[in-house]
Amino acid sequence: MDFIQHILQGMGLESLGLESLGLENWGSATPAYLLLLPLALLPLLARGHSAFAYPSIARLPIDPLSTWLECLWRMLGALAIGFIALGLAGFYCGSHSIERVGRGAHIMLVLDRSASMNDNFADKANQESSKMEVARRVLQTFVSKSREDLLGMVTFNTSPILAAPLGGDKEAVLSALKATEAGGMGFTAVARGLGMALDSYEGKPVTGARVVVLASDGGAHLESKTQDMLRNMFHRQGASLYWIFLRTANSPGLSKPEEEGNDDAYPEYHLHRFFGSMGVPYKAYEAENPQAVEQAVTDIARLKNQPVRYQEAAPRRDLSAIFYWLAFLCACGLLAFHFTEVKQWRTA
Amino acid sequence: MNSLIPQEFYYHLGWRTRSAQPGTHPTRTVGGNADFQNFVPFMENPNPRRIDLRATLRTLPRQLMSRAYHERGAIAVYAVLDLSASMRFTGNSDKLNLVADIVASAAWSAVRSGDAFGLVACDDTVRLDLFAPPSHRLGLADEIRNKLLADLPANTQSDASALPLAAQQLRQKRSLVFLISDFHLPDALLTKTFTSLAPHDVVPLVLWDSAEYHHIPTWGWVRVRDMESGGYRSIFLRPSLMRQIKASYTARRQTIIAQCLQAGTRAPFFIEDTFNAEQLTRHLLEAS
Repeated sequence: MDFIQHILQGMGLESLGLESLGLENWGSATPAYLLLLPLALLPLLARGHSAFAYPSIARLPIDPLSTWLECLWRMLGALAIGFIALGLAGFYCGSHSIERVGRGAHIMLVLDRSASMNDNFADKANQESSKMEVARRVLQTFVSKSREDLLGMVTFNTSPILAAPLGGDKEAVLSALKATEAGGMGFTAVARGLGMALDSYEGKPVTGARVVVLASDGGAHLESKTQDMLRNMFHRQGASLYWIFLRTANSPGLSKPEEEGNDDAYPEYHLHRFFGSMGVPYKAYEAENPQAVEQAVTDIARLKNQPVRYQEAAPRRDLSAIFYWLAFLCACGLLAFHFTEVKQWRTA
Repeated sequence: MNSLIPQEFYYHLGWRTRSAQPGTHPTRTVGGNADFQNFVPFMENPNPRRIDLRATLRTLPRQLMSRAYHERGAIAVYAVLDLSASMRFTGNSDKLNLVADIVASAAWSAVRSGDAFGLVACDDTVRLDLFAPPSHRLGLADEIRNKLLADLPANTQSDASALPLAAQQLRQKRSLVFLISDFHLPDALLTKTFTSLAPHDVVPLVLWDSAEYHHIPTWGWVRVRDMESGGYRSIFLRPSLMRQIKASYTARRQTIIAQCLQAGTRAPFFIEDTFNAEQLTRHLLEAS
């Protein structure tokens, strides 16, 4: 590709002054196809199409309309080839970023994808569905209900994955959610997931409330060192935490008081207590309650937000479709010519 | 093909030949008994059977008169053939077939009426391989016809530029010449041809095909290639253009007639698709 760019440069294509035309955002994905453009001359120069033998064309009158149609026919052929070459070259315009103003919170969704999420959800109504499915459904409703929020998503099991960076692209988050349909596996490293979510706030202006929405069954123990680190990070980023709790079947839930000497049996309860003790705004919602998600959305919406200015990368407009359409129209014209063409000279 | 008997047509000369060969045409030679010339003194034509009493009585002073006659003689009939590429056009009829038919018919008719028949064919050279010197041979018609049908063009874009040279191959004596061509020739070439053939009695036979100008599609886009110049024209056929093409051919017809008149040949005979010997006979007997 490089040498072709060189050739194009040598031909002066770079110095055409696209900047002066205000076309600095134009470009071509595969400029090598522009080398096919000279093929467009072929229909203009080609001779020797099949023609009926005629004793003497001096007897035929010179007809301006026919001359024009011949010209048009050749032009259509040339344009069709030219447009196909331009289409193949993949011209696009405007890969630029648009400044947008948002008024929402900055929300990081943190979704648990550990093996325990494959277990059945503790809801009488949908006994069969796994916690993962429920979490996905809940988060999908959540995402589609949020209006002007900036959204991002982190999934985690043993190690976290940044599924969608923090931004205004709701589609990306929904796609990331859809991609979790494969079953979960591994441990529940809540701390690392939250850590990554909090990391994505690092170095960004605080123009909206920072909210971490955790969807997890909470089957994880946090060591005291990790607890300290998480607490510090939450404080530094000034983020609040919302936990959409997915209760495992036969699990007592968050409200069950701890039984003496049986710490390991109820990790979610411990997690709940730790989150509550962090000193940042914290709220837990039980996912079996359909109002819980609504509640979460309204809670988050109530947070005071400043208008957010952010750059959104606008997708570049692919112009090749236009060229292909033009080529198609030319080809239709050629087809029309073909249909009017006389197939047999003799009629009697 | 060999068993096909060519159509026979009849022709008539408006002039007297100098031939000594016995035949059916009027000559300038004195003799014979059918073509009355005038009354001459008996001593100039001392044949007692030709003594004419009424002519003798009309003379003063009295002198024995006898009738003098012209001999009937034979002539040479030639077909001068334009074998340029355009004569190989196949429309509603194959022009080369048509030409072979006409030439065979002329040969047959000539031999049947006691005349010699010869053929000179030209494209951009005089085709000596097709040349046939005047002859009375029986079977000449078939022979020439087969030779013509077997002819393959050496040059697919040959024109008829050798036509004026054809006259060199003819007899010096005035002969009847059928000039067979489609007359899609440049005017200068046509004039030159007519001039070179001026000593002879020329009958132009114009071969046109109905697929050239009126049996063609009435609507549609078509590309045509000139068979001789190789030129290329794209035309969009439609009723108005059809009218123009027909008008162009009508104008061409008038031009050919005018040029023939100017060159002193007989009126041209136009043949479209099929050759009808009866019509040619009528044309030859009426217009001569």
